Order: sequence, then C-alpha cells, then structure tokens
Amino acid sequence: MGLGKLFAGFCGFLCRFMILRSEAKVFFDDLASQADEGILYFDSRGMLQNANGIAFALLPFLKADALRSLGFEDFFKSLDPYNRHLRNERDESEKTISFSGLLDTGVRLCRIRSGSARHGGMYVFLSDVTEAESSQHEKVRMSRLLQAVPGGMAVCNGSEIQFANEEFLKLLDISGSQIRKKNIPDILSETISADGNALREMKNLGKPVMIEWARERDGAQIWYEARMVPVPGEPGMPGLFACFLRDVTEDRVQKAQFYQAQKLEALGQLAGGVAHDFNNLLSIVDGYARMALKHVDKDNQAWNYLERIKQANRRGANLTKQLLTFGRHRIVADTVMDLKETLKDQEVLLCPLLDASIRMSIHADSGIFIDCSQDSMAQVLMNLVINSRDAMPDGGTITIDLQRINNTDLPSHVPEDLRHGDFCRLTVMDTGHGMDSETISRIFDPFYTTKEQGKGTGLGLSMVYGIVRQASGFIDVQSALGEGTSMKVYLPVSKRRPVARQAIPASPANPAGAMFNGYSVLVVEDEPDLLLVVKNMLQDMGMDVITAGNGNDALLKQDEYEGRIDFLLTDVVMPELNGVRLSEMMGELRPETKVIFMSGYPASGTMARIQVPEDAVLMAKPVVYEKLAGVLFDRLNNKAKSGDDIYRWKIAEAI
Amino acid sequence: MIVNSMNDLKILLVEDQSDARAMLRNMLSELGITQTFEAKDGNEALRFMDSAFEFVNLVICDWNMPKMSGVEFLRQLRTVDPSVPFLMVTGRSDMSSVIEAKSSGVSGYIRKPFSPAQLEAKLRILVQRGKKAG
Repeated sequence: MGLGKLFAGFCGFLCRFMILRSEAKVFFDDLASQADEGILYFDSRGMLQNANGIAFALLPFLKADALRSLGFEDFFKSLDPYNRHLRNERDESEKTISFSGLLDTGVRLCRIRSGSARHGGMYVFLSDVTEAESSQHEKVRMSRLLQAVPGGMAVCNGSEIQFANEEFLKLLDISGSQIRKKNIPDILSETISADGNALREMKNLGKPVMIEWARERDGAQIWYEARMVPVPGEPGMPGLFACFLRDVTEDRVQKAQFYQAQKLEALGQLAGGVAHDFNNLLSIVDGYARMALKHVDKDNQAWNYLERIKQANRRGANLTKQLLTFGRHRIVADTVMDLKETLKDQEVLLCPLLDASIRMSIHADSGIFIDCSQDSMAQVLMNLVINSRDAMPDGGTITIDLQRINNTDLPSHVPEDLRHGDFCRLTVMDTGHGMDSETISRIFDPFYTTKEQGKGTGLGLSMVYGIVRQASGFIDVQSALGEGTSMKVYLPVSKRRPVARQAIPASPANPAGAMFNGYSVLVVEDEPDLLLVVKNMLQDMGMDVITAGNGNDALLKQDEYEGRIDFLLTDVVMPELNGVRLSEMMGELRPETKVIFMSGYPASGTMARIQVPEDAVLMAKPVVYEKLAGVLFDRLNNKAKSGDDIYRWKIAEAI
Repeated sequence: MIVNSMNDLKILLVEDQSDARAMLRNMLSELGITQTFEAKDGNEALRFMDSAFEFVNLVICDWNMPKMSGVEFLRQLRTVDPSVPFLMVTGRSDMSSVIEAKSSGVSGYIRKPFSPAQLEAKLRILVQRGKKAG
C-alpha cells in the first residue's frame, strides 16, 4: 500500500471523523435546542464544548466566548456565588458525578445534574424549577394552613378522605390510618354518630350542608357542628368535598344562657309594666272598697263582702310586689349582711318546713359579707329550700353550702367585665327527682310552675332571680332527671361590714347594764326636756337615737333617715298628730319598726285621752332607765305582747 | 309658701285616669283636705298653674301619663313655679325612675297602691319639710 493511499485513507477517515463530529454537533444542537432543559457538554478534558440557548439563559455568567475555554472546574466555581443548596453527590459505582440542588440566580432556581458521556465527557443538565419549587412551597404552606384552621377539617373526593387535619382526627378520637378508604359521612356517623344521610345529601344538592347534633360521652352531652362544602374540580375532573367540624358544646351552652338571660330581662320588663298597671287598678278597687265600707254597717252582710274585697286586694298587691322584685323594679335596701349569720338564722325558720324524711345539712365559710338586705336573702333561701323540698316527696337530703370562690370558678356565661372582685357561691342541692332541660330553661319565668294548681304561684324562682341579679349576682342550675338539682347562686362579696347589733340584757348584778349596740330608735316627745332625758338614756344604752318634737317632725325625720329604724318610742298625746296615728303611719312606712308608746295617761278607759290599740305596748311615764331598757329588751324579743299587764297602765296606777 | 297644717293644703291633682283622680280626691277629703283642683294631663295642669298658681300649694302628679309624662310636666312646672312641693305618684318603683324623679326635683314619691295613711304620712312630711325650710 502506497503512502499516498495511506494518506488518502487517513484523510478519508479524518473527513469522515470531521463529518461525524460536525454531524454530532448538528445532532447535539438540534436536540439541545428542542430540549426544555439547559444542556452543557464538557469534553473528556473537561472543557466546555457546547451549550444550548436555555443553558445560556439560565446561567448569566455563561458568555458565548466560554465555549472551548471554560473548564469544568471553573464552571462550578462560577456557579458558587449562586449556589445556595448545591449538593455534590458522587456515585462512584456508576462513575458518574451528579450534582443536584438549587441555584438561586437572582430570580431563578435551577436543578443541575450531570451525567458522563460515553467517551469520557460530561453532560450537565439544568432545569428551571422556579414553578415546581414554588408549587411545592405552596403545598407545604397550604397543608400548614389547613392544620391551623380552627376546628377539624377534612377533604374527600367523594369516596375517600384525601386529607384530614389533626383537629379533625382529635375530634373523632381516631388516628390517621383509620380514615383511609373511608368517606366523610361514613366516618362521622361511625365515630361520633352524625346523621350520615344528611351529609350525603349534599352530594345530590350540590350545595353546602350544615348539621348539628349531640352525642353522649362520659355522661356529658357533646354538641358537634359539621359543614360540608362542595369544592368544584377542574373541568372534566370530579369535584371534592370539604368538611369543617367543630365541637360547639361551649357555644351552645353560652348561647342558651344568653337567650335565657335576654328572655328573663324581657319578661322582667313586661312583668314590671303589667304590675304597674295592675297596681293602678288595685288602688282603685281598694279605694272604693274603703269608701263603701264607710256606708255599710258592720252587721250588714255587705260589710263582710267588702272586707273580703280588701283582703283579696292585699293579696293582689303582694303579688305585684313579687313581680316587681323579679323585674328588678323594687328598691332593695342598701345594707350589708353576714351570709353565714343569715344562714344560721334561717335554719331555725326552715327546719319546721321540712318533713322528718328530709335531712338538711349546712356548711358555710364564715366572714362572707354581701350587699343585700337580710329579707331579700331570706326570700332567696326560703324559695330554694322549698323547691328542693317539693322535689323530694319521698325524702332525701338538702345540702346548703356557702364558700368563697375565685373569679375563675364563675359560670362560663358570666361576661368578662362582670367578673371583677371577689365572689361567693351559695349552693342549695337536693337529691330529688331533678328536671329535664325543658324545665330548666323555664324555671325562672314568672308564673311557670310544675307544682299542682294552687300550690305555687310560679313566682318564687322569678323573685330569686330578680333579687340575685339586683345584688349583681348570677344563678347557675345543674339538674338531671332522677339525679337531683343543684342551684348555685354566685354573689359578689362586699368589702363593707355590717354594724354589729348586739342586745345585752341587764343582769341582777348589773341592773343598769342593758346594752343595745348598733340598734336605732326614733323618739318622739313634745316636751323638750323629757326628750333630752330619754335621748341621753338611749344613747347610754349604745343606741343610735333620732329625735322629733312632734308627730309630723317624726315622719320627716324617718323619711330622711336612710338606715333601718328598730324602735319608735313615742308619746301618745301630742298636738296635731298623736302617737297612735303616727304609729299607724309608721306601720305602713316602716313595718319592721317596733313601736313602744310612753304616756302619762292610761291606755284606755274613760281616763284615756286617746285610745291606744289593744295590742300595743305602752310604758308608763315617768321614764326610768331600767324600766326603759327592760321594755326595749322584751319588745325586741317579742315578749311584750298584746294586753301585757307589765307595760299597761292600769287606770288605778295612772291616777 | 308655708303651710301650717294639713287643712291648709290646696292641692292640684294631675292624673289621666278619672277613676284614680276620684280616688285621690276622696282620700284627700277623708284627710280633711277639700281644696283640690284636678287636671287630666300635664298641659291642662300647666295652663292652670300659669294663671292660678297662688291657689295651689302642693301638686300630686301621676308619673306615667300618656300625653306628657310626669317628669316632663315637672320640668315645665318648675319654670312657672320653682318651689311648689311635688308629690309623684308612681307604680314604677325601680331605682332608675326614682333617681330620675329625684334629679328632676320631686319633693317626694308614693308608690301605688297606697293607703290613706301612707298618703297622709307623705303629705305631712312635705308640709313639715316646707315649714322647716320656710
């Protein structure tokens, strides 16, 4: 073979090789230009030989003159400034080096992987993952968001739950694996006894569905609310359903209590209004009955009838008084009282009301004072205890408990702004037949009663409610059929202290030692010197003394005196308004005041200037310290009664 | 104007219900008070007081009247006669209306239903207060 032939063969080979090379380049260019990735080719020496347009676009540092001058190592160095998450994973076994990671080239994120070419070169593939990354981020964000949705949330594609947040699983008390291959209506009805059919209905209606239901758990009722919302799918794709699930027990309770309070408020206003008009009518009936009585003799049958009318009228007036208490239209005296002391006092009065089959036990913290009048509180207790008694026809136990509590122990329906200060809780609990929720929701309504006709007015608890609200307190009722009832009265504790009232009788050793600390007396005497003497005596006994020089003045003084007046000590014979008339008026204005007459004249008979009523207590003048103290003491203890000779002047003694 | 005794009282009754007016008139006459004038609403009473206030030394007025309420009547009355004792008759006994009444300047109030003795006591208190102040 000649050298020329060899040369020609070599040239042919070279040409073929070059053609092949250029074919390869064309092939690369073709392929690379159609690829949607950036492609770079480094030859076996590690020199950049080729790169497509996308690679240039993705890598700003890559200039046209880099071809055949940029080495592989330099290439990666150039990437460095953009390299945030580049990971170098060399797989030695496959003799490839692959880099994968994200490049942050200002706006773009790229993923790079490299693979070895067959003849020792290397391809680097770059792809723009901006969109893919951000959609991945979006997914993570959405999933966090759905976890953070208040309440449970699940998404279902019609046959299977695709997503459920933790709250959803918690509400159903199941784990994530248990919801697989289940749909929402089924799982809700299986776990928390929802009405699955109602939820399935949404599928047919294509509209959101909301259901609320309750179920028992550990003896308590739990309320759920589920909303199913259709989520339209992409065109041609089936839609999804989202389910929002909440435990609404607390809401239900608060709402119910709110409505209850609103209803009672409205009823109170209504009752107050009715009572007002009713009072007008009563005054008219009463007035005409009084007038008619004047024209009828006592032996006339009509006199009796008129008396009956007057009596009925009084009962009517009492009823309206109770209604007004409920409607908080009554003025409750501004007094402070020791709740434990009142409980003790009331125990004596309450016990006789209870059957032998009913046991009553009282536990009370001491030193709890509240701003409320003793009478009102007595009414509250009396009503609660009587209701407890009536709930236990076969006997049982009434437990009365009084204790200081923290604001946090107040019922949840009490608004935040009314929780300031200290509170106490008075609980009256029975072991009776209990009430259903329907009854509980109505017990404070005026005229609502479960008692037999004629046995209750239906005003007892309304009054309790009125008094408690007026004292800025709250009531909570807990009851279940067959399990008894517990009425909890929450009252704000007062910082004031009542004036200690203490009556100490005189003793044989100390005949002048009687004391009436904290008691008050209105003395009425038209003889100024005597008035002064009596005033001094009473002050010595520790009393708060109000003096008046005549009947009219006494009326004015009592009108201006804001506290309670325990005694009225009045002269009988006075000009303009005598003591007897004065005592009649006092009886109407201040029925709690105990009246003692003092007179230099006999109480009755021909020598009496003014007839003193039969049942009055009359003390003879001159007024002597020991005698005065004795009369006051006995009057206080109701020992001095009608016709009591000790205090009545016999005609003989008077003269 | 000082009233020395109950018998000197000259009272204007303002009350929209004729029954209630008659009742009051009768009660007052039982108490020996016979000089009474009557008006069925605030406007009538104001017209009366405008021309004849020297004939009246006490006003008894129902608080709850349809055309002009007691409180409105009292407000207007005070521009005519700033001092005549004013006894408010009310079925409304809640604290707020009593406070409202007091701040409008009533001299006293009496709650329905009331007995002649209660009315007498209230009148005596007003008379006595007038005497002290006078």
